[in-house]
Amino acid sequence: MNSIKLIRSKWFIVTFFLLYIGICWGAFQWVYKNEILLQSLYKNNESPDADKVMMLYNAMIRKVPGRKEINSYYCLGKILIRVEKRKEAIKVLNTMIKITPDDRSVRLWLAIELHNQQRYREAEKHFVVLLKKNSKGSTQKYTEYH
Amino acid sequence: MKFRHTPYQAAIVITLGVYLYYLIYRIRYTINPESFILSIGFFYAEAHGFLALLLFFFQIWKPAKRKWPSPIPGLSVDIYIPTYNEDISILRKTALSCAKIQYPHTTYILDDGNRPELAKEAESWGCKYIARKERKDAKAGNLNNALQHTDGDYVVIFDADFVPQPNFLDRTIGYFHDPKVAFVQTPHNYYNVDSFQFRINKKKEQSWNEQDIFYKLMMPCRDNWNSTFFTGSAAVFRKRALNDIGGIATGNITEDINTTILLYSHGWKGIYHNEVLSNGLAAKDLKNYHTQVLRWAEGNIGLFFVNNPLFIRGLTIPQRICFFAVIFGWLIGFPKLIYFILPPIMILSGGYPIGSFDFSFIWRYVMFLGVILLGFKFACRGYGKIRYDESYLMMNFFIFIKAALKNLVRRKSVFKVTGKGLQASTNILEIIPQSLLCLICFGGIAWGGLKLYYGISPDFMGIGVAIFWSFVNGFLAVSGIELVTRPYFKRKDFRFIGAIPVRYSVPSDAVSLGNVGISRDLNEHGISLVTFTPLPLDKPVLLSLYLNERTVTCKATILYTAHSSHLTNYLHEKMFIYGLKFEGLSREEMDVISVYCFNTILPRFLQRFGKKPSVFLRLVFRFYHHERFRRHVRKKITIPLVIYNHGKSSLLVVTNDVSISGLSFTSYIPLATGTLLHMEIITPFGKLFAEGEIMQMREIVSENSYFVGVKFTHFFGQSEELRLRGAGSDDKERFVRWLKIAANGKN
Repeated sequence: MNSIKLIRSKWFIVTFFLLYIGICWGAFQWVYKNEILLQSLYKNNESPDADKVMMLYNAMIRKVPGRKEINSYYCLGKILIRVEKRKEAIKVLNTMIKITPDDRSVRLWLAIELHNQQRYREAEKHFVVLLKKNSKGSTQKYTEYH
Repeated sequence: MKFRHTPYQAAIVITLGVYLYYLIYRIRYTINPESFILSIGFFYAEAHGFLALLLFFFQIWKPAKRKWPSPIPGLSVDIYIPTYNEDISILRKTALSCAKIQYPHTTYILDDGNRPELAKEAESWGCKYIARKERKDAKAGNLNNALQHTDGDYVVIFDADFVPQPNFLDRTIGYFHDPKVAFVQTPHNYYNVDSFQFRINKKKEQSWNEQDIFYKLMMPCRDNWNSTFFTGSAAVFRKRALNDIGGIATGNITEDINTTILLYSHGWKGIYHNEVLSNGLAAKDLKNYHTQVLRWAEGNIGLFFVNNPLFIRGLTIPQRICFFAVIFGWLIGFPKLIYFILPPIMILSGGYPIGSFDFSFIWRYVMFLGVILLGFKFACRGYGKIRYDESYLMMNFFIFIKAALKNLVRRKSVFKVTGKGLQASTNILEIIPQSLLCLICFGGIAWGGLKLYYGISPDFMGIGVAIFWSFVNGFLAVSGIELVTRPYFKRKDFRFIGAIPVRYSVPSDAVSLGNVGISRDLNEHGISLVTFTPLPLDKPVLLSLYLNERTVTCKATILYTAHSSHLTNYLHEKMFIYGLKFEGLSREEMDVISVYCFNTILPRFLQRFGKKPSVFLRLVFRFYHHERFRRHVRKKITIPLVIYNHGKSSLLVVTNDVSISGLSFTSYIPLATGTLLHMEIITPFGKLFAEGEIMQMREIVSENSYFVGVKFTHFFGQSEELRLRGAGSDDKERFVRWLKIAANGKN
């Protein structure tokens, strides 16, 4: 059988397609291992396993993230708060602020967390920035986060 | 009509306006600094598209209106048929058709292959033979050599596979009344419609050829700017004009366009006569097709370095624009590559060329896309088929890139002759770019789907758009691969699609004597025959082919029968399809069939399948088509029809359509309207005798094809009573039912 006949064979097409999808799926699982775990923990309503969360935190906090990963950091922050790891959550929020300094909702969330941790000086800085920008609707977004 | 082209021109202006607005919006608001390279790459592709569209629209602005002037008698004309390694059987058809050209001329075979057997054959065809020892400058050198050895004042050039019509010179030589005219170019048409450059829809009677838009729209419009160009074949030259520029231009592998630019720069004029007067062979397989396209692309881009139309002296501004457009058109490979790979790259990398896929961008993008697609389709006046055009670009983009890169590094180009012989199967190496693109696109779709499923990317809009375009591009690549890897035809010579009446009989079987069937396709070697009685597979069949005024009778052997599933149920055991090979035909008889195929079947096919109503006219026809007002719908049924004159069979033809109140057919002789005809209609359900009056008659193909519309007066009257002879009442009912339920184009 020549190569052209082979690529036109139904069996070859089906087998190749399944194999190719399998490879894509496997590669995806490998590349996005942490993100997949993160999303499953985030979507799960039960209290997440603190060890797993810390493992994810340690893996992600070392990276220099880009704007497109902001969603993952947001989820991580939420999970850390759920397992009462507020200091770590603040670190994550600080990382997010570095990526998106103009995101008023993240800044407000960070300022409130710092305030709750009684780190008033740090919180004040962020409140000042927010007031300067005269942000509208931030309170509404804050309620969305909490 | 003065404003006939105004709607198209308005569409062009609106389309370009919207495109420009979109580009300004894109550069001002949507460049993404975080994915700067992707963003700039995508913007370049769009800006390139704008310039390409602008140049394209300039070339289709308005077609020149020409009516062929009467021929100038007494000119001395030489016909050149340059050849290198083409099959002698292909050359034979060309040479014999040249011999049949009515205007006095001398035909020369210019053989760069230096073949003694061809020299001998040329003599027998009545042609003169000129050969060279060296192959310097390939085809251009061959033609220049002939210019030195012949003394005609006018020169016609036909490629080895181009078969001219007898009136070729009558229609073109008259343009040389104008002393400034250097050449007259006619369209290239290809008769092997089974080549992969064609798409045929038999049901809708539509055909698409990737060069239609060029020869049927762009060239007539370029003619309006005096920018038409010699395309290598099917053209007449004034020899003095060629001598003025030192003969056919050399130094570039596309000698045709190069020669044209030189002629224009010396103040000569070119004419485009928009009528198919010759038919050639399209490259039959992908490899040869790519060889041809690469040569065109390389040569045309190379003009930028040889005779740059922007800077050469003597051209008008429209000529500069039109010839620059030709060069620029071949650079489309780069933006196409970006369009094809960008969507999966967006998904895989997560980087977007657009700052944000918000509503503000999306509505502008949708508007831009809609206007571009509709505007292009409308402005192309029925010749633009976006899906086919995109599929063509998908199969060729890497060839265009290769040609551009070869020119960039100034690699010397070699003239390669396009193979026009037996079709070869596609090699897997020839479809590697499309295969890789398939993998990337479908990998991107899977990746994007998984990203959305796992919630890794919340950007549904961005990924959704990227998945959509990945799917479109992947589909184009798959459909292209599917098309070029189809099992190829091993038949060496193309069979012409058309119906002619054929009488058939089995010599040893007296019962079947005198039955009439019709052909589905035909050439000088064989026929596909539809009969209404079964034929014995193990016996030779005697056929009489009715080829206008000539009848060729021969024996034929049945090679195959079509599977019964090809026929609808009610025709089961009533209609049979056979493939037959002719036996014992003389060379002269084969030539008669061949000439009939080229001069009658092919023009009729082109007339039927070549109609290209614009989008606007198609909309009008949809609502106001005259078929709607017929009492009985005409079905496109082809069956034999015998017309009697004073009780004797005088004409055997094939119907175009039939209804219970009338029919139409194509005749090779003109018939006067109002004439009463006595007809024998041969159907799968028996013979039907009727009398009818000719209601309309018009010439559809010059000199040998007339459309005749007949209304039944006697048997299909108001009572719709059918008088059938030789058929039972069951058959009568089935015939009526057949007419009622037969699908168009299926008999």
